Amino acid sequence: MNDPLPSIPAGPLPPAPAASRRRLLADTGLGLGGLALAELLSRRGAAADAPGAAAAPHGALDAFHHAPKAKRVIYLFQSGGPSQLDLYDWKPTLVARAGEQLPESVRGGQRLTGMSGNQSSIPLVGSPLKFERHGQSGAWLSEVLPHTAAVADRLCFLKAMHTESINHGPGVTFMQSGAQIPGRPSVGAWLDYGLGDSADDLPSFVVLITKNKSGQPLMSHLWGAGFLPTRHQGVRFRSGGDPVLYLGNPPGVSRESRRAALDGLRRLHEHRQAGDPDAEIAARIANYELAFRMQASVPDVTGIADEPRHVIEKYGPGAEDPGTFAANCLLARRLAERGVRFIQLYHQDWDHHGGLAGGIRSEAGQTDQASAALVQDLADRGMLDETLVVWGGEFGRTNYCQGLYVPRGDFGRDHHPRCFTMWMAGGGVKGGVSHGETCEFGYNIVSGAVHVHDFHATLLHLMGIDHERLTYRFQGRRYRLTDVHGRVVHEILA
Amino acid sequence: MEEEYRVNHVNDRVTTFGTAFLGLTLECCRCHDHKFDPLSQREYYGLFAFFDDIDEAGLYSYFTPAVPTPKLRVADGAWKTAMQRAEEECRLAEAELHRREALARGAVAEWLAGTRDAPDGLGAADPGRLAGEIARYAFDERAADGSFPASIDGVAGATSPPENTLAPGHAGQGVRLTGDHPVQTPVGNFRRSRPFTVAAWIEVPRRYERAVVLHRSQAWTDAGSRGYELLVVDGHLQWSLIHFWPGDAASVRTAEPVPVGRFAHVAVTSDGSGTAAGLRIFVDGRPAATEVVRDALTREITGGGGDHIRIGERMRDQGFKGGVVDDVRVFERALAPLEVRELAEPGTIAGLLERRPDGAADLLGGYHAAALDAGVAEARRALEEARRARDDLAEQPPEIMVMRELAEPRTAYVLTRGDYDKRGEAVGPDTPAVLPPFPADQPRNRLGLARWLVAPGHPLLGRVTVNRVWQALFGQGLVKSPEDLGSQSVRPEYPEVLDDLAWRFSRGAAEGGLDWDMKALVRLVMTSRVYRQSSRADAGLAAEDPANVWLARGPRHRLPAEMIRDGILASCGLLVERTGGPPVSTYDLAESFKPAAPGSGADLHRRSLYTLWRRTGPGPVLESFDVPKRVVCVAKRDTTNTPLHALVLLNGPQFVEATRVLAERLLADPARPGGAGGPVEALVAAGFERLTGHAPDDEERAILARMHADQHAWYLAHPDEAAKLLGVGSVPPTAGLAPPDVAALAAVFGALASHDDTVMKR
Repeated sequence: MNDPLPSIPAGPLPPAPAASRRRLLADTGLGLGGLALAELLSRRGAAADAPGAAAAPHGALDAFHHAPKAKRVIYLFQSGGPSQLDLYDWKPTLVARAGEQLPESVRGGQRLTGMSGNQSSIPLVGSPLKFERHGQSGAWLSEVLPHTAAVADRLCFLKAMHTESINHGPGVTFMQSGAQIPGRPSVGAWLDYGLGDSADDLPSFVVLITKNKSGQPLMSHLWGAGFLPTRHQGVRFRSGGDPVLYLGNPPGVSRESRRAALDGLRRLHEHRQAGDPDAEIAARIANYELAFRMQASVPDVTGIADEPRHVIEKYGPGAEDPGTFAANCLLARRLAERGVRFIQLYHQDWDHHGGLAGGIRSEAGQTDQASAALVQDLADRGMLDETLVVWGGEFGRTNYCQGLYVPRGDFGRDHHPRCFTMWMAGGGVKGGVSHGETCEFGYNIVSGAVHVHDFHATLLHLMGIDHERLTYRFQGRRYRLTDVHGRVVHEILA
Repeated sequence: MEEEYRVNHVNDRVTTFGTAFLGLTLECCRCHDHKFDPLSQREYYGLFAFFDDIDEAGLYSYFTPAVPTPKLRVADGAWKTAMQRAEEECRLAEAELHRREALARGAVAEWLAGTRDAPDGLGAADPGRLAGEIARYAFDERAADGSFPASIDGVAGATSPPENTLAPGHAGQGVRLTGDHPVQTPVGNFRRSRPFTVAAWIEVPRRYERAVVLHRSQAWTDAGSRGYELLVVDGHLQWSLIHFWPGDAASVRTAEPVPVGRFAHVAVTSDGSGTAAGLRIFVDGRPAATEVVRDALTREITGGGGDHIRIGERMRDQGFKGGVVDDVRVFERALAPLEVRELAEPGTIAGLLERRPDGAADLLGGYHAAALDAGVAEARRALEEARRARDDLAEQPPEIMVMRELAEPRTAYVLTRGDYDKRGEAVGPDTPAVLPPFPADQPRNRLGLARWLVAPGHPLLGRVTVNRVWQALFGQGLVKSPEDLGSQSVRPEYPEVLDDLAWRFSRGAAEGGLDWDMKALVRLVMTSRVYRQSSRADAGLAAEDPANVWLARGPRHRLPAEMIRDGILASCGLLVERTGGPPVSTYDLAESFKPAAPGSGADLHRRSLYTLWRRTGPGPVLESFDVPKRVVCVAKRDTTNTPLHALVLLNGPQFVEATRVLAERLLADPARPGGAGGPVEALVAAGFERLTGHAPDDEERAILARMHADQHAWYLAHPDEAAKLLGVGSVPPTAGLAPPDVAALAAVFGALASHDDTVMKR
């Protein structure tokens, strides 16, 4: 009863598999509907996870702008604004001068954020956590990041990140799409649009969210396609039930009986096609077969029964509990192995306006080990060189106390867009370096500033794309991820 | 920043207006003159001015469920009748109170004139001891725990962090406030119907742009300021009762600035009416002249948290930094002017009673009515009760956000480079010069703008609308970019068709037009020869005109999400075509990013138009077929063809149930094709025709027969599985049918629901 995969039916499609997708569409007069088949055509024979050079792009671009360093990205987004001052950016001055007012010379008349902007007093507060230097690079790291410390020499710390938004919604949206107002494509969607699908049986842009977290809400536009066709949006794998909407057969339908029904449907489609050649039908046939394969391939990647014990343990407690950050990191690696190009994780609840010391221990406890394990695991498999791992939030936190300062008491920090820390690893980025520096108060950038647009430009650069040349025409003008800004941070490139 | 959000909202309206009605990319000129079309930045802000006059905060309230203003109460007739009755009760109770007050005042006047004895209670032992006081704090000392003891027995102290310190007060000590630390009292959770008074001596050290003196609320913008508050705003005292600031509040502000650099006695009262007229501010014991800031309180002022009066600080607001507060007193009634003077100048009442000077009748009469007369007190209680009943009723109906102009238009400005806080020259509401002039006889508001749009000869609205309808019917518009008919759009192949249709659509019947009748327009296009052409193209035509720009063949495109779902439900006989009513939750909303429990019964089979829609989170089934998220105005949807469609149509309970029901109805139909017990092939063919819209040809019949045979064989071998398939959905299986028969037919129809002809228009 099980037929082999259907051959690509004859029709008006030009036979050359090398035809660019755009030309194919133009030639056949398809709407966007025919894309899936076009991709199958162009991707045939180029296994996405094959070692060596990355498969040629078959999206809006039909060639890389330059040789890519990274084939894929795993972005560990830390939502809420993790405090760089209590994790990465060690400022003894703040400990020494705790309780003193933020000097006007440091603040420089800048606007404060909404939550503390009306405070009549803005007392400095130092980190209550111990910092030490780690690795040959001597990276300063907080005591709550022992596992990150162990891989410090593989990481590139960007200590002078800065952004334009002072609140979560616009901040996360800016970090994920290059604009503060929803409506622009996310980074992953741009890559999908530019380079085409990357995996045969899986989406090329997958989103994983740590389950059962509170904190600032995440909106689906963060992984949306904006004005790009919706097929470029991220596919969120859910942690319970079907990872993909209606992936499983309904009760009373088996894989066998479904196969039979699809075979019949395919015959009907082929018959239709014979009477009225249309690439849309061909694409539909191919898509239904892909859906059938996904019904097997998605459970295969999300189940970890084949994963060795010692690997699971490396990711830490929770790695076997679907939906935890640890499980999502492990799943990210499995998706990366199967050719998924952009794997976007979200971990919420870093928004420590109060109770910072306890809160940051809790969040670091959930993320430190798995983040480090992911880097190490990729390195062990020889995948780190071609996989860019990114860790960071939407902005930093203030060097002063939000609300009341009580010596050695509970405290919080407000949002701080003027400087914060992210790290990158692998994918053509230098390891064991710290790029950029903030002032002794941890308030202003001294050198090595990296704007969000610069970060995006660098990310695209590593993927073989010139950020100024990946554009989409919308509302009367061409748009790009970096809008009219962005500078590749060459200093950190390996 | 409120203003930043507000400006963004206005921009969104302008952009939407441009996209939907003008087909112009107005958003380009938010920051600079349009690069391609003849539209200047100044003209953008001329349109901005039409959408600028709304009493909105730009923010929603985090701590309360208040509907942001402007809003509309959605009430049925029964509620309106009940409300009219409740308001009538209030009017009657008010009239009774006024009658009683007049009697009480009359008695005092007669007594002063010597024509009667002193009314009961007047001239009692201690006229300085005012009734209804529930808390008083002198701030002369601090308890060991840092609190300030109350001066009334049985009332808890006011707490404060140590940063607020004792400082010289009006009498003895007062409390100096940091602005970041509150003095927290244990009283003050008043409903809007409750008359009350709060009084204090305050020393205002400088002219504040904004400072919170005292309030009962959880927060400023985060709670829509729900509660009541005494602020200094631009140096003036402002006293407000608030459900949601600014649109649902009563608020008054003093005409004169509050005295600076010395202690002033300030008292605020609310008479329980919840109106601006019922709010009074007294300075130094005298009523202050006030102006009305807002007078539109419609709902309750309690709730949202922060239930008691706090002094000097509020969450994310600007506190009374450096100010001193002394002798705070709270009364559970609105004090009369003479009583307030007594607070500021103790002994006043006793002196008046003793001296009884000319002209004292008004003050003493008011005092007697407010504080002493039993009949007035009874009438006041009755009035409060009537108002409480009315206020309870007012809480009931749901509300929705609407557009409503302010009485006084705001001034709009050119915003330099689009920045909300970089105001350039002021601009009035106006339309771009390149378009027809704004009619001289129309008001410069949205109504006038709408009339300008539909005036005969307007070059855009007709064309833009006709183009969008054409797009809906043909898959693409005569102009391919429905959101942009400007100079950057692709010139249409048939501009005459666009012009002719636009002319007919926008002209009245007298001229032979359709008078903006959308249904007539759709009929006109759909009955045209061009629409009714076959969508098939021979190889030559397909090669020469792949995109069907020439319209030498009929339309061919995937149906939009709603039509796919509704079409399948209708084909299966499940579609509920009832119109109107609240939104419904379909099966798939349980799988949404913002999940909602599915509804039941007919709700599951309503037209997709009624599916619950949360902004940024449309229902997953509709979303998989490219409905927009409604974050920004979208004039053209994507049309994708992805593997997810197969999963949704083949596995989604909506369609599994629908196709099973179709199988059951065909099997159980006594008039089924071929008669009862007739050949199943006829049923398969009938289902095929219902779903795909055409009867199967011979080869299709053969394929269908084999499909059905395969499924039937499998379900005969797996009867348990057949029963499971029949259990999907909320419609119970039809009794008396063999489950394998139903399941086999259902499985075939399930596949046909995802047949190309079911989801495509050809």
